Amino acid sequence: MRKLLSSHIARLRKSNLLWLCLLLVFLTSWVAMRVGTESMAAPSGYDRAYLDWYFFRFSAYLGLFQIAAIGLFLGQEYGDGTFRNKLIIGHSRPGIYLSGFLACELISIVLMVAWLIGTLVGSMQNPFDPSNWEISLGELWYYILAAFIFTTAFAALLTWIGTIADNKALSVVLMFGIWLTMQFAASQIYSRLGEAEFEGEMVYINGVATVVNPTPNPLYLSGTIRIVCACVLYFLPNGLVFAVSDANIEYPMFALVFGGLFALLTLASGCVIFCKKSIK
Amino acid sequence: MEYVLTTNCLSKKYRHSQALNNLTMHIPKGSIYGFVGRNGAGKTTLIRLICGLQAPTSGHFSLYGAQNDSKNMIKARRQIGAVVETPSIYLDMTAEDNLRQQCLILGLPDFTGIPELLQLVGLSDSGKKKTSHFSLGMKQRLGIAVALCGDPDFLILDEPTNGLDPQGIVELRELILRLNRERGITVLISSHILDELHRLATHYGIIDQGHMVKELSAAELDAACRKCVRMEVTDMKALVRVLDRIHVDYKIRSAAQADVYAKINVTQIAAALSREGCEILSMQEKDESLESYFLSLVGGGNHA
Repeated sequence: MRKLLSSHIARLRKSNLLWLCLLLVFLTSWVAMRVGTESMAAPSGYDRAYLDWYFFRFSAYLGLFQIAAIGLFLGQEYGDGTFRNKLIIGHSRPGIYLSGFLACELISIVLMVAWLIGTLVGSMQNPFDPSNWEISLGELWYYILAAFIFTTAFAALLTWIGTIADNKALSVVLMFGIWLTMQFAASQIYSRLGEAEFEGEMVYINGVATVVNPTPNPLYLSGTIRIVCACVLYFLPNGLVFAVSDANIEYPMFALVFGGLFALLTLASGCVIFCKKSIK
Repeated sequence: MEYVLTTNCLSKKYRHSQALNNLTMHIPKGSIYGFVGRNGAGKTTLIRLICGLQAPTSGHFSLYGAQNDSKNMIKARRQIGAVVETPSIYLDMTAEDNLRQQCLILGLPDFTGIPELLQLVGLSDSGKKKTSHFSLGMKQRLGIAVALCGDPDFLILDEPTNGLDPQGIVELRELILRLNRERGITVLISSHILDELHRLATHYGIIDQGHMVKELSAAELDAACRKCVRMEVTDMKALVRVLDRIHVDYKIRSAAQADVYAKINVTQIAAALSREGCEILSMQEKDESLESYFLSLVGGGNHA
């Protein structure tokens, strides 16, 4: 597998599209953070604003850049049939599949790093000053880890789709279509989980928003059903994206476990399918 | 005789069709094996099985002594190079970068062999041109160069002349002959263009409807396709005496028929046989072309 990985890395180094995606991710995350932190300086109803309100916002778009970079990379490999050279000279199918996934994972990590650097650099406030953060340093690392989990899950899913589709165009269409479907499903679950426990008239008292005469919200999910919905949300990569982009993960351990489970199951099933696939 | 590849009752069934049907073949080491068959006969399917792209439904094959389902097959595959249907090349890379990719996949320590390979296939002038801008012939030659990267002993080419112009076909033929002659590479080349194979192959395998119809050497094929005069006589012994006297090459087909492989003077033969008390019942000039021989084996009335 080392030989396969080295060939993938050599290809990635020469990939103009990947470098373009990195540049775009850096620039757009820089702009997003700059615009967000500029608005922090503007008068608002809050006493003060914090960097973590904006830091993870751009992570919602990472999946699209992954589709662009990984879709073309895998499309050349499987759509153009160049992976056949590897099979012919004796590389195993699991080795080919896993090395492809690791290359996609590498693409995802560098995109993530570009996002983090762009966001740090774009901040108008000092990101290394703890007072500019509402969350602790430990929580910040946690959310970065969660972001790593969802990019890994995306990489596993895109590898799965890329090896199943027989041509480049179908591969990208499927990737985008599945991403949209998961985005819709995740947004529905997230908004339902985001329903307030109580509803009523909201008034501002001494600059703090307060609900007056609260009544139980019938749409609020509680108990076991809430945990189950949260787990489903975290299982979907797009669902974890929503939670990370708002820095709002209610069940931290479940998020890591179910997000990782999606990646593992997708990877394993993709490998099995690829091993049995009849190749032309 | 040492064989690079042997198949034993190899079968491959797809959902609605039987692509290979108990196919048995033997490819001698050092030969150029012409694999001949109509469209849809099963040539590409066999090549896919050998290259590990698909698994057989039943039967087995042996490559350099390693069975297809054994662990040694991985090591055996290291000795082959193949171009299956279309060349597998990265269209956004140059020829040199494609070969570098193959060298990395093979785990070769360096790229020093690449200039020689490019020169061998006639692509040393391709420079920084991306392969997406290559002609079909250039892509085919690059595909062969990629297949040759690991210095294989066995080269598999699936209809390599498809889409090539006459010059491209000649260049490819000369390349294959050079590889076989200078490097001793065994070549399996599948084609439905008999004339082209006839200029190349040392052995033939004729396949039809997934089944091997006949395997023969080039010498045997030439013998089968020789021009001759088929004579039917009343006394075969008399004919043999007359033919031996005039030192011509002949082959006895039956008690009454013989093929004479020479330009004979009919009047003289008839007079000589008459003196021996032998009558000539019929004389026909036979000129079995390669196509007619092939069609006689696979049945010319059926069309794929």
